[in-house]
Amino acid sequence: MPPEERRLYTVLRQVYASALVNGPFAIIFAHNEGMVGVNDRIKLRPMVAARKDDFLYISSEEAGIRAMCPGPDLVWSPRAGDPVIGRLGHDEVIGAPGERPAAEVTYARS
Amino acid sequence: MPEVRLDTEEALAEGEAEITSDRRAGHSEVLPLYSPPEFTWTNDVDKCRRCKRCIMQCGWKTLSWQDRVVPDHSKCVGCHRCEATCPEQCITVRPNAQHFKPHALWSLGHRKNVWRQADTGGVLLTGMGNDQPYEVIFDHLVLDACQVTNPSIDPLREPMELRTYLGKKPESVEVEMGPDGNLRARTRLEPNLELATPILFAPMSYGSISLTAQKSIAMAAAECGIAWNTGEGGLHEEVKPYADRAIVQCASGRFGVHAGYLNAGAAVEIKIGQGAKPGIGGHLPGEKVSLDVSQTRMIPVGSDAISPAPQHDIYSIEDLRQLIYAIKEATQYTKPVCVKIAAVHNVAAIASGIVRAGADMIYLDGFRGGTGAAPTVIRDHLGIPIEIAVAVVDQRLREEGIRNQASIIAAGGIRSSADMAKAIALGADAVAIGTAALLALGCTLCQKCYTGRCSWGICTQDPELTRRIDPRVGSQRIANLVRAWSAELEEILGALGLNAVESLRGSRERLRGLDLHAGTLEVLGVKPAGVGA
Amino acid sequence: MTTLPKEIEPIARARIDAAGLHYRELNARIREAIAAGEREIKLANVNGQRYIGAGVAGDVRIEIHGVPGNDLGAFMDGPTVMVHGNAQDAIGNTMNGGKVIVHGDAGDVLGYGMRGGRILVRGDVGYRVGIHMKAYRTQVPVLVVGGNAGDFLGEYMAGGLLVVLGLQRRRGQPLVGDYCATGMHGGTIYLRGEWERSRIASNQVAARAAGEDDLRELRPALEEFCAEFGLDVERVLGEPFARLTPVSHRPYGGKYAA
Repeated sequence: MPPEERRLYTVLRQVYASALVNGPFAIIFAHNEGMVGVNDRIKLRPMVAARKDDFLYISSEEAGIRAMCPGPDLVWSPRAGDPVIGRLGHDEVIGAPGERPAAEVTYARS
Repeated sequence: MPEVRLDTEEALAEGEAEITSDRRAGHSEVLPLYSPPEFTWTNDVDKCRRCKRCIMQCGWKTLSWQDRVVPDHSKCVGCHRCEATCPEQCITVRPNAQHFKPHALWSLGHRKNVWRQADTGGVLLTGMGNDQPYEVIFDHLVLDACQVTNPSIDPLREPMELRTYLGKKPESVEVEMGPDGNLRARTRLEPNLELATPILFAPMSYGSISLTAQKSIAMAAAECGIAWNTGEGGLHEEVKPYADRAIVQCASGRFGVHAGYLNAGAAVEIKIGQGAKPGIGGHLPGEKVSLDVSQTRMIPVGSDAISPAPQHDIYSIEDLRQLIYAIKEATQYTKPVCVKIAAVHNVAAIASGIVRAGADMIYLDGFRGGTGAAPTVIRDHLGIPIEIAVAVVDQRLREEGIRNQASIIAAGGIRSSADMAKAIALGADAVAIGTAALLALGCTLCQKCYTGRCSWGICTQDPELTRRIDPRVGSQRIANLVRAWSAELEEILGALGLNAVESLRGSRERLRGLDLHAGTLEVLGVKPAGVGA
Repeated sequence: MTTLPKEIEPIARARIDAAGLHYRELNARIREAIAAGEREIKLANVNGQRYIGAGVAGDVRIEIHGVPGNDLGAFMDGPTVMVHGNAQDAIGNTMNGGKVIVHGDAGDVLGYGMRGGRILVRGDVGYRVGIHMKAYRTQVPVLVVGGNAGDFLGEYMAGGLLVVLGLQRRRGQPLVGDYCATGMHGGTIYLRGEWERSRIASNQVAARAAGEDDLRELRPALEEFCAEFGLDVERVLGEPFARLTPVSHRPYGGKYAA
């Protein structure tokens, strides 16, 4: 890991230590610009994602996705700790295989 | 030790004769005060190898040789060095059965103290920490464990983070784009002290303890990736190699303090007080200021080393701030500055002031904290328990929104990993251990440190005694202790369902009180057992 | 259920349309079919029904079209279950015997406490796969992964055979994740191709290049795997394999004071 990146993670860890979420979790939340799914660092709870055309699906089970969308273009298991982020108006899904993982993506100031 | 005459028939007869003759002469004479020895020494004569090792091992010259080992019970302090080193294990040191009429108020200890003070007119001295039967709050606190709704974590398989950073943390982190297109932190962190596990060693000066003992502690700190503390004895050449893991102390006597010293360590600590003797200073008698001690403390040989009660340049919180920044300037803002205080009634307000004065860490020393020498009355009756001090300081700093500006170190009677976990749950970032580290070196808590005759070689400067500690062995024993407690802390965190020790810090919700007064529970911020979340 | 002409009753029993069926109903029908003597059962339109094959014993073959729910083949003892597609989590939990074949990817916690039988997955598997596999007398469990695996593979392994082949590596994807074989005290793991040494605790797990004898030991499992999925076993064996074994049978012996 490049030293600046290492330093960033170390500083974040030092300053926000009390905000660490412990234990197993799989959280999906949506806001008015999109949807985020994220697991704990060692994926103790299930999470699966899929896309078809311009739809992103996140669920705890693949069967759940297929109940709504029988033939997705791509189904994948997100990596532990790496969020899956879909934004309205953006074709790229962060955290999908073949896409750049979340850590590499920079955020433009809106 | 008070003089006791042996009860031979001769002496009794002598005494009788004296009294009879004095009565005749018109004098009234009081019999010498009888204070029974605290311990009795016996050995199994059949097993005794007559090697005389016990005689040599005793630092208090309790034993002599008259065709067999003969003890002077009055000199025995119950340190058990002779027992531990007897090749036949045929020595027994027992408390002397005291057959004085029992009294619920006037314990035999109180009676003996009055007799001694009548003899000497002096202040009674003692060593180590408060041994009186005040309630131990740690023993009335229990920790939570996970069942069902929040599964426990297996420390054998999952990453368990004990690493702790002591120092100032900013309010938030600002992130920016670097010139190479990568994200980086714009916020610069103030210097922090990194510990591999939330344990450090309490200040114990060279002078109060031997150099071999201090070196054992310094080496163990380096091996375990934690920190040790020079105490107010300065930094001896032999422990300079471990200076990068040392907190160098700046105390009222300013012994050995110069710019090089301040810059040699990983952090600087201003000592205002300690739990064993809050509000009073220290006194290393001239006899203990050997050539070596004199060089390290930068004072003349044989001169008393007096640490005045207050630091004479700190008479207000503004003065403290001035000293803190003087040190930061002298170290060019590269070292975190710690302020050590005894836990007293107003500790929360004092701590708040100290943090606002610019301290990066606060070291709280509870009333069970140890020392090489202190007046017994001060040690046993001043100060408050560390459990309460940590809870109220953590709470006050959080209420004032300044908890991130300094880390809290809890000390004073931390006996086990359980005490450590509870102290962290009450609000401490880390714990400091003094007595426990010395116990690891062989100390048996006989509380005679102030005599300088420690048979275990720990708190003495007599080369015959200090050579009994080999730092290579001593440091291993202390490192073992730190490793064992760290492994136990991982087990405790796992049972709590936590991956990192910071998640336990200040989490009073994971503690419950058993048989504590409602008032104490409220001060601690802890619920009684049985009450849910 | 409507009554059917006797001639097509066996066909109806042996072909179950799972669409809209709760898992209790589906599994009850499977057991009925087996009790009636069916040895080949096909399930169509399966989507998320759990516990298929759970606790089922005997020489039966169940074919699944669709995505079965969690706990496929849990506590199973003997049947062969084939999935034409992806499968989910907790396959073969405490499996005693039999075979589970997945023509796709599978999820987390596969083969937990497996004591015998085989689990063969064509694609990738998730986290905590093959935990505490154990062998007992003649029963030796085998778990073969055609793709990659996540963290905690083969944790606490006590016996059996675990193989990861990495046949379809995506860009930058590691063969196995972190904490691989932590607490291993029995059994053997084979990893094919490139992988990072830092993924295993070297004080608990010994890794070396697999030799001729080792590959002979491995061959039967790979032949079975390749036969199921129509692959060339010689090509699979053509890449170098690493063989992982435990350093001690008491990996945590030194942790506690007597």
